Amino acid sequence: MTVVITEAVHSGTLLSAWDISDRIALFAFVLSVISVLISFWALILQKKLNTINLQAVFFEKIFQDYFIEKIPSAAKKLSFDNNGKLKSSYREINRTLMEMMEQCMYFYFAKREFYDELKQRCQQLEDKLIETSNEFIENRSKQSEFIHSVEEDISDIVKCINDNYSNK
Amino acid sequence: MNCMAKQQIQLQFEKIITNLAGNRFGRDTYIAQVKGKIDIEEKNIIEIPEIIEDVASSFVQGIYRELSEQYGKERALEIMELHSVRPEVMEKIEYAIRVYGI
Repeated sequence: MTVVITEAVHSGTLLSAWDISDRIALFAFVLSVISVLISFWALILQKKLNTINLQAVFFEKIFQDYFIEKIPSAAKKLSFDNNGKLKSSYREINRTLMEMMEQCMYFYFAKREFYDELKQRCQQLEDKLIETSNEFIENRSKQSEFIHSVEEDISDIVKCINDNYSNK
Repeated sequence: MNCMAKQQIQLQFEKIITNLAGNRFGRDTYIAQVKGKIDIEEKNIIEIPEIIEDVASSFVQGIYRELSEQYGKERALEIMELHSVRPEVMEKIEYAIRVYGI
C-alpha cells in the first residue's frame, strides 16, 4: 500500500515536471518556427525592394532628361500661325516622345503594362497633334484651349511615369 | 526576296488632308485602296501623295495590320513598303516602324 501510494505520488510529480519542460520546449519550437517565417518573409520583401530599386535606377536614367529639358522645350514651341494652322514645330513633341519610347524598351520586357499604357498615351497625343494640323483654327480662344489640352496630355504622360516610378 | 518584282499602288486622299493619323484610318485605307491590288509574290510599293506632310505611327500600324496578322511582321514588310518623295515623311515612317513595330 505504501509502495503503491509512493509510486502514485512519485509518478504525479514526474508527470508535472515532464509537462513544464515539454511546454518550454514547445514554446521554443514555436518561436523558432515564427523566426524562420519572419526571415523568409524578410527575404521576399528584400527581393521585391531590390527589383523596385533596380527599376528606379532605370526610370531615372531613361526619363530624367525628358522631364527636365526635352519635353518642356518641345512643348513650349507649340503654336498656331496667322492662318490658324498648327505650326510644324508640333512635330518636335512627337519626335521627342518617340525617342523616349525608343529609350524605354527595357520596360517592354520588365513592366509591359506600364510600357503599353505609356505607348498608348504617346500615340494618342501624336494622333491629336497630327489631326489638328489638318485643320484651320482661327479662333484664338480655341487655339489656347487646344494648346492647354496638349499640355494636359503631356502632364498625364509625366504622371503615368511618376506613378510607375513610385510603384503606385 | 531582293529579286521580287515590284508594283506601285498610289494612295489617294481628299485634297484637304495633308497629314495621316489613326490606326482605324490606316486599316480602312488598306482595305479600300490596297487590299484588292496587292500581290504577295511581288514587292508592293505604296506611294503616299506628295501633299502628305506627316504620317502618324498609328496610321503606319493600321495600314500594315491585316498583312501583319496574316503573314507575320517580317513578311508584311517584305510584301508592302510605304514610300513618299518627302524625305522627312520617309524618315518618320521608318522611325515609327523601328520604335513601335507594325
